[in-house]
Amino acid sequence: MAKLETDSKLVQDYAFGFTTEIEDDQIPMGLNEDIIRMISDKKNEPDWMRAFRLKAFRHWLTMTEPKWAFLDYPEIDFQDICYYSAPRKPGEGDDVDPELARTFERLGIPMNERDRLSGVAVDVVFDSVSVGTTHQELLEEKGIIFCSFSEAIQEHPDLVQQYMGMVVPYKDNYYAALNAAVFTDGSFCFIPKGVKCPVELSTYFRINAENTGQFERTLVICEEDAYCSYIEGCTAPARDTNQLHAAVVELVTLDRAEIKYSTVQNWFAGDEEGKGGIYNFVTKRGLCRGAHSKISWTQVEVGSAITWKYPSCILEGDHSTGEFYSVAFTNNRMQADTGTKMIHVGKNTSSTIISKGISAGKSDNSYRGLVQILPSADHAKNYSACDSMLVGPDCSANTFPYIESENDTAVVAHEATTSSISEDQLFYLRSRGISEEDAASLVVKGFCKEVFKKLPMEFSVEAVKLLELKLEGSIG
Amino acid sequence: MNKELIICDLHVSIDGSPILKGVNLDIKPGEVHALMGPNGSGKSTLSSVLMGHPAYEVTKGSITFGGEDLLDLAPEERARLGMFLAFQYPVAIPGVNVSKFLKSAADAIHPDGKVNATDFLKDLRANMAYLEMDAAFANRGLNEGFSGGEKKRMEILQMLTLKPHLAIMDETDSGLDIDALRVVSKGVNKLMDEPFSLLVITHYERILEYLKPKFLHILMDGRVVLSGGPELVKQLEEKGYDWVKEAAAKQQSAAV
Amino acid sequence: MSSTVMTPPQFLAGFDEAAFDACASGEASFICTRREKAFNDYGMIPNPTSRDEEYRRTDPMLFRMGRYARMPTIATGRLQKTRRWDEAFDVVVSITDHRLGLSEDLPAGVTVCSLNDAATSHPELMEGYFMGAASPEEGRKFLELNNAFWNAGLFIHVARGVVLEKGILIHYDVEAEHAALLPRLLVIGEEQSQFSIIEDYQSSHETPFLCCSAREFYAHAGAQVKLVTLQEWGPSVVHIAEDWARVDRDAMVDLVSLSLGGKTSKMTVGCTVCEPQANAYLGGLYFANDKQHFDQKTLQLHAAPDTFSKMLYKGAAKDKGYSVYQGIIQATHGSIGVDAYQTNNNLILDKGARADSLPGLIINADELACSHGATMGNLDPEQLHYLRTRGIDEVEARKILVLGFFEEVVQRVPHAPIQERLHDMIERKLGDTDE
Repeated sequence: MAKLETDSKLVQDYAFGFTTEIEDDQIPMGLNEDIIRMISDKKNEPDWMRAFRLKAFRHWLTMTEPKWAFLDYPEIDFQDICYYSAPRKPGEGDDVDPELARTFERLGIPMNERDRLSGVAVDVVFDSVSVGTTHQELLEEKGIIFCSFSEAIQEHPDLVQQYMGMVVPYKDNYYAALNAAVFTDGSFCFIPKGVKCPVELSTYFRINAENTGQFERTLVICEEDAYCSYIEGCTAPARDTNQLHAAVVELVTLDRAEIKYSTVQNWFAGDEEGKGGIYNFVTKRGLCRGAHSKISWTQVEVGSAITWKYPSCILEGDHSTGEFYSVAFTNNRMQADTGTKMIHVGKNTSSTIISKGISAGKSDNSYRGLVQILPSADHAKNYSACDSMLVGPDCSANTFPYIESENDTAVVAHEATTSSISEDQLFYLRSRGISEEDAASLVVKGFCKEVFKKLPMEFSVEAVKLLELKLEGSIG
Repeated sequence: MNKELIICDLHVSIDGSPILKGVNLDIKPGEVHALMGPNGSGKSTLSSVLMGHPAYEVTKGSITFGGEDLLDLAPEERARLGMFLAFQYPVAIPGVNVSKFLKSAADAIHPDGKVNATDFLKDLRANMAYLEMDAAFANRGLNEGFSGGEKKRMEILQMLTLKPHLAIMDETDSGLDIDALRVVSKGVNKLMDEPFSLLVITHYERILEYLKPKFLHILMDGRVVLSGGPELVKQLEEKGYDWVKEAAAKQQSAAV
Repeated sequence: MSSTVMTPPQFLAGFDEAAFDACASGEASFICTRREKAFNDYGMIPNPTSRDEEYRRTDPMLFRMGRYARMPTIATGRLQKTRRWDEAFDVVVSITDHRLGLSEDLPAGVTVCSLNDAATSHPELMEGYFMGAASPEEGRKFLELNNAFWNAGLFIHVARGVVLEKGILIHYDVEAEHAALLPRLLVIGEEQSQFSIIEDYQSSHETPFLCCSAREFYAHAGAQVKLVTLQEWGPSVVHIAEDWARVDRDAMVDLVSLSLGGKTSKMTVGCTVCEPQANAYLGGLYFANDKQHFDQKTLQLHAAPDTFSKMLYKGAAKDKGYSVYQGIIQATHGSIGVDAYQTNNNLILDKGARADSLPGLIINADELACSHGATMGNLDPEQLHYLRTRGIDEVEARKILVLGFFEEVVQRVPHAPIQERLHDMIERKLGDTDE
């Protein structure tokens, strides 16, 4: 009998910190070519996929871990990780293991078709594999492909081969190479020419098994004039060891297409002393390949012990647009080094960066962003605003923008501020009878509002609640 | 020198969308004209085009000034012909000293390419005093940190310095209190001593009481729909733009 | 288990043990000891490469160190005020290939002499300040290079309460081909002193040489010290500079760097405001045309509560010019009440020109307000149009706007003739066209 419980004092303020006791299908710990072949076999992959993994792995061996980020953590032992863990298949006829279904219900994720009212199609990734995708029929009618990455490899090999690695090549960076070698699942979305996806597409990631790394890969493609809004959510049980998450997300938009990608990242962040938590090393990048196309990243980062993440846009098509809206909250001993890259290649490309960092406790919170205007990007425009708020005397807030312009017709403006939570604002609110904690929460929410309003409606409400929860106990 | 402005069937677009759709206007030396019209009718577009703003595209028609085709001329060449635009929203140019800037402009406008520095400074001081401006403004950055009223006075100061044959005042009166309006009008009237013509673009009849235009035009949807004498001001004030539409329709059918 | 591996000493081409042995002779033991320590440290620091963050945009290969030979330490002599605007200063120092000339009749309370003379006449001051607390964290290769090899050392001390109306001019003029000039400046402003120093680097012809300068500034309580560097080297000069300042309670230091000449320049200005109410202003003007490459880094270090700093760097890039600005405001733990900002504005005037801007904030303290802003772009078309409607032609209008863009920094320079010279230099650069 499986049980769901929060059995650790680690998780007092992490509502998603329970574990699911479910039978796992795991492979041995460690990383070598045999392990990679084993993963590939488990997934019954075609030769080209296996070759891609091995090529990436061999390249990874030649690389070194990047050290430039404002992060401090002990060396990761890549041999001490299990690279594949899957809940054992339920019996024939069952949709989803009832235990899993209960887990996701508790997390607020509708797994059953009867929950369709939420207007969100969900793919759920549990540890290393996708355990179910909803709303398939509705999507199929429109010609939209939304399935697990494993399924896409089997069913749509041409599309996968055409686009996988187009935006994030396996050589891109250390973690992207690792991911290319060992990724186990993820989501695949393909919106054909002219189709506006009628529901929000969503993937929900959960790391459950202990000592397991999660390496998922997501690929979203919008053909000419297509549109989709994609939501990603993540949680993990509270454990006192660190777990590694190294995902790759690639987005591609063709002429006049638009992808709106929203993330609420709430991986377990470790306890007050910094014990446990997820190491989140993620490569997310979008390619605005077509003219007048648009990619918009919105992220609310409230979890993980370590966050290393720079959702970026390559603005290749003329008149294409990139956006990055981010709230990053850190407390206790959390460390976040996050931001974006906007690479302007095409003419009349424009980008906007709005970043809000809140640091509390003894955390380190850094914005790092690159705006690059290439010589070809005539009349490119960028506006960036990065604001940091310090809550308490022991945290740090850092801002590291990199601006490079090689075009005399481009216009770039960047501004950043770092300040403490305003005593005057707190006093004003408290003089109206609001408690100190509530006042601080109001001020912080106001500070982040510009970003929250970019999230899809229901998701935005969730994000605000999550931030409130995180703020409790961080102030005063 | 006959510096007559003739605008003939002027069509203007910005980013491909048409704003002016056939404007005709004729301003003879010494005449004061007023141009009124609801928001978005194209008044500011007309003033920008007259001075050669690069964002506007003339798709049809002509503008001549003293017989010269303006459309081929750069803004500075128009200025040298004796045209002046008092901007509705003058830009601030920090770091550019007011008196140095005015000297450069006066030099550029002068047929010899240079004005006498002593005379220039004397005139500048006199003009500033006349416009009731603090002498310290001469050493500030151009329009840098100026209030709305100060910017408008600065435009008039430039006009007095450059002594144009034709001035276009683009809503110079907007946002001015009565005192500033009096000073601005005083400045303009000083130029009236010379042969000088004026196009006043405005929303309000207040400034017209000071400047007393003989001709009034009403611009609607990119066309001058009604022209007349000073009596139009009163009628417009009483009856509003809806009346203009009717009156314009009548005038048109009468003309047919 | 890792064992300690001795890193072998790493010398930059032309500055090895043989060169060092040739340079140290007949100096006070105090100076010799410092040189030797610096030489050791310098050898232990790995040679910078373009893989280092600090040199990613300015490859040390551009410096081509091997081409230059250190000039012998320059001897001291007397100087008559001769130059056109020498009279405008209280003290004039002239440094050429062979001689460090000092004007006669120094004002009371002002000491200006060579570092070697200072080591003999003011050993206590040298002990306390030379290669002292103003210097930054270890590991700066070119600072240690200068510490070991400096050949034009100057000592300036202004006594408590002394106010210099006209200030000090230090003029450099170098002619020797493929020489390495390593100027070293130590400036101490005692409590409540007020003075300005202008360093004027000039070399009129095509002579290629290397200038690797290091300067230390100390401003004690209530002092007001202004330092202006006007770098107008000839077109084949490589310029490396390390400037480090320390500002005490209620003192104000104003560091203005004007980079116009040379071929490649790499400049670091660091200022620590280390007691309450200490205040620093860092001003910069750079204009890279032709194939010039300017790299400047600023550090505003706030090591105490209620300290202030402002930074304004304005640059233009034209032709194939490339400019890099990199800066950090750092507020250490406990330094509450810090008020600091950085502004970096860049004009990119031509296709082929490039500007990079990397302003940064590292904030570890509470109750403060730090901010930065950076912009890049060409001249504002609306401003250009406005000027043209006043009869000013496009070329002239552009000139007016570029001068206006730089004016806020130019205004920080004392002495109107120098402001005029700056205007002329900027105009000349605008006029030069890259063929």
